[in-house]
Amino acid sequence: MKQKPSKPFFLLLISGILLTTITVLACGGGDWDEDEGSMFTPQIINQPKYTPFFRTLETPFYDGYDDAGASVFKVTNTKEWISFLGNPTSEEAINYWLYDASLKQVDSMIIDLKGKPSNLSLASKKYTLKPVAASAKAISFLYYLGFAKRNEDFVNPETNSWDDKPVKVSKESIVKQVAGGLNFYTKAKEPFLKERYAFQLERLYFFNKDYDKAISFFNDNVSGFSANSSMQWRALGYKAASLYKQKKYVESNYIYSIIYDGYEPLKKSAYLSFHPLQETEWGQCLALTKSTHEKEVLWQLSGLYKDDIIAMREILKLNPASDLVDLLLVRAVNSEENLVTEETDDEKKDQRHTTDKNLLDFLNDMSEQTASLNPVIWHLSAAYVNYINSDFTAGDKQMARAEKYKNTNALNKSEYHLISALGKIRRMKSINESAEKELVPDLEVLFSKETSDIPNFRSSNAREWIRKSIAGLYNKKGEVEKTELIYPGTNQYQFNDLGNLKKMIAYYEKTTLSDFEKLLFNYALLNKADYTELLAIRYAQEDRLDESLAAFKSGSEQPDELPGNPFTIHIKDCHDCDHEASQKVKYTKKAFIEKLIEMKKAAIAKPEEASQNYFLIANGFYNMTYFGNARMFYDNRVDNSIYTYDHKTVPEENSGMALKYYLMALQASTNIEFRAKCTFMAAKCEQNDFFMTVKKDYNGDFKSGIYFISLKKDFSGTTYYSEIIKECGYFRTYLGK
Amino acid sequence: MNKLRLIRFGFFIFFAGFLSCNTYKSEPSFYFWRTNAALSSKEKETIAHHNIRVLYVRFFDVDIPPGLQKPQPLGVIDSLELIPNTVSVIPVVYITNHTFLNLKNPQVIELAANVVKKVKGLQKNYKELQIDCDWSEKTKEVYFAFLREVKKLSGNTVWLTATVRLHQIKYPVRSGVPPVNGGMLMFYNMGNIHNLQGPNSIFDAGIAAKYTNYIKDYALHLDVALPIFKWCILYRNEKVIGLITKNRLPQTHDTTYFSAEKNSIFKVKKPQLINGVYYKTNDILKYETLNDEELLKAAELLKKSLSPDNRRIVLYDLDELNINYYETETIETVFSTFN
Repeated sequence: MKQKPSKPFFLLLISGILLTTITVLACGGGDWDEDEGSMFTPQIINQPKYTPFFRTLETPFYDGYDDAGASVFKVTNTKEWISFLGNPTSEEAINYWLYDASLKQVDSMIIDLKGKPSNLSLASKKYTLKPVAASAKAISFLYYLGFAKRNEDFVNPETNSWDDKPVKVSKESIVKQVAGGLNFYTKAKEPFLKERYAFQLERLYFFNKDYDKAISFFNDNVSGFSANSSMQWRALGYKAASLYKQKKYVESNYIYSIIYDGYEPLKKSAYLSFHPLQETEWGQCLALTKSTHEKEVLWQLSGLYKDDIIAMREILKLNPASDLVDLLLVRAVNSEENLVTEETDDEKKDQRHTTDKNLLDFLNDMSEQTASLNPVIWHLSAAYVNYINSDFTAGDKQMARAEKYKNTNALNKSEYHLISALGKIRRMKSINESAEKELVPDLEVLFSKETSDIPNFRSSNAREWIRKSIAGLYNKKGEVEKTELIYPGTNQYQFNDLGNLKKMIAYYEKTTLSDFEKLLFNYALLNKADYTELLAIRYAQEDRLDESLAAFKSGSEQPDELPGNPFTIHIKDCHDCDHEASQKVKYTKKAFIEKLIEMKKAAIAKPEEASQNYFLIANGFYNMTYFGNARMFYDNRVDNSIYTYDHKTVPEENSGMALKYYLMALQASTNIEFRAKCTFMAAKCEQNDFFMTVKKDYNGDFKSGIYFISLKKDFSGTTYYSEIIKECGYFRTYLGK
Repeated sequence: MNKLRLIRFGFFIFFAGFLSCNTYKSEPSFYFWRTNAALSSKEKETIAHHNIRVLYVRFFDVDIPPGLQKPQPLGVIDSLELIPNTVSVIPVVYITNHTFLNLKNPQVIELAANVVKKVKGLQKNYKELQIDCDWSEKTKEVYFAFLREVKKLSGNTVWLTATVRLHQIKYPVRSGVPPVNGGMLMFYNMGNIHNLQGPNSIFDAGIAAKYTNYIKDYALHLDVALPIFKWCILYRNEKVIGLITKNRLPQTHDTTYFSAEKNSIFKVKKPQLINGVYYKTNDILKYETLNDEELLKAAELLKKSLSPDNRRIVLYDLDELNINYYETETIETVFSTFN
């Protein structure tokens, strides 16, 4: 079958001169990218053969590209030959002869089997056909192979590969090949071989553009094919392609619909080839059908290409119990799912979706008369689309009908609870205890591990939406801890305030819990230890080191070590250098705090070493900010702002504590070189604060405060001063150098 | 002008010599962008009438199809031998930017070898080879490495050109200048097809004016391409769902199925399958093309933006569905505008 390179709706070429601006070549409306954002699992129809046709935007098929059945054919072909030749032949050997052996080796094997001296290669010897019981069969296999392999020169117009060169064959040689084929075909006695020769001839006619002959040959010899054999279906594909080439689209499309329905390995390919051009062709195509089922198939294809609702109505008119509508139904619902997921704030929620009224009417209509259909998918679809449309009464009616089927399998059950939760939450203006109670059964199912493990179930997006939506309602009520518990991070900066953090920790210690709270704690995304660690970090940032240490100790042990020595400092920050440098002592967060406490004690106990200790402590505080080599210190599951900065809204961007200790170090020292160093480090803190407080669009240089002035005035004679000039561009700019 | 360019434009210089030592001449040409090279009699007539000596022929596209890891040639041209032997064929290979987004530097060496081998397999000899890719800042490094490799494999006798879009002309530092012998400026597709109410996305003088000042300063010698194609942009629920071209185009003036909303915008009145495209009720179609007057205006604007030089003026694309739309004199005038 001649496979077309893309869906016929659009251009066959992707060429850019015409198409540079195109980013969307979608097959239907909406924004979905595969199942991202979708909450409706099409697999509920439980008909795996239709999986490729689930709604998708990325590729022609939900399960990827079409290989025109090539891999299936290879396997089938091998199996069929093994059964023909008899069991002593291994799959490996057959594959070798079918796909790897050269024409010369095929000839040599024939000679060898006939007992004459041959020129077999090592591989051919390894896979010799000698042990095959009936050597006549082996010889007929080899003769066929010889013919088929020669045929490849004539029938392989596949130019979409790097290797091939267009084969130029003369008319005479084609005629010869056809004559040879006909000869083999006539003489072949075994039906197995006969239909293979017929298939080869069919290909030969098609690829040599003798379409009349391809059509008549198939028609005249169709009885030679065994019913439903792969050869018959593949040859039929060439007949359809020949009709297509002759612009006999109606008949061609009709045959493609038969192949689409009847032979799974060619299902995708037939779907792509099926290609009606004008409305009138539909009627003509339908007129060719020989049974109701064939009509249903045509309408299913029409639904895939054109309008799913019209198609479903037609199919059900023909056969109210048809399962061919199921695919179209879930496609229609998947196309309709608008971004419910983005509407977690009230303004958006109040806007009614512009749901396709046709679909809505159709679904409501159909679910009234589902006696012989697969009822659960109709009720769930109708409920879902009604809920999306904010028609909760209609949705509830459908859910009540769906309920009795919900336990038919795990997927149905989960989808039921998902849609149920969606309907309940979407109508909530506020949340109270009774609303909570109502949600418990649905969320118990949705959040459970068993549900997450159900293959294909589109639950992650639903869970995210549910959490966000409920969190929004609690936040409106001012129940910030519950808000945080359901959807961490809803109030972004609340934990810059230690009081809020302590309240959150206390919430985790609450002993009397409602069922709803129990559920939330059971499936909480963060735990108490995460908040306790953040508390320890916040204490440290405020220089409340003892409290910080206590908090670190009360939380769970964090074995991760900081990537560099947090007590190191340079004129120019270089985190990578610090992280690569060898370290004698490695610090965990807790060990880092312990060391700071020890240094503070030492500074007080030994005034002669105070300046050094204060300097190291300052380095520690510097390095635990956004600017330091130990930024990892404030990495935490509650506040994971480690790689971003947001202009002084968070403690980690404040260099004030480092500045305080650099100034204490400066004061405690009389060594001019050391004092120069402390002053420069103070200038760095000043600079960081400058850049954190200027307007976001500020593009200029650092405007120095007091410490560059002090450096120039008091320390210009020091060695350190000349090092700063060498390394620090800001300072050179300041000096005008 | 280097030796290669002298050879390439030898034909003109010879004739131009009769006129004046300083006269530059343009050479008319077309793109040919179909997969089968069988030309209609109208197309052959056009070639003869405008004395077309060279034709830019798309040989194949290159992309990494979904699910595959490696670039593939797609839509390889068939029956190349049917192109009239009065014209010399310049192979054009279109490569998606997506290809280069997914390739690393070493892999472009293999791709370049494949492309050159494939082109040569289709046509043994050619004086010019054109690569068409709407590269971006992200892909320029890999794409340029690819071009350098193609240049290396093609040798000194092949004049390598690359298509250049207006945005690449305006931002040469950001986009880089491709390492080729010459560029082909595509003076079209400047607007945004997603903007239903916006100006013609194929050509709009206002949008063009934002770019024209940069053309003269571009670091490459430029041939230029102008649009004679038309298309319909199909919108459903305010989103672009497809582009309809050539023989798939519907008769938008057929009031049974379409109602004219305003100039060039049409609404679908009832569902219908037309030329293989399905229209749902309320779908919107925006019909875009340049009429004779607009095409001439585009040519004049472009002419003014170019420094005097020999160059090819190439119309996109040679197809009777496009040519029939224009008066023969219009096409003649477009070509002669650049003399």
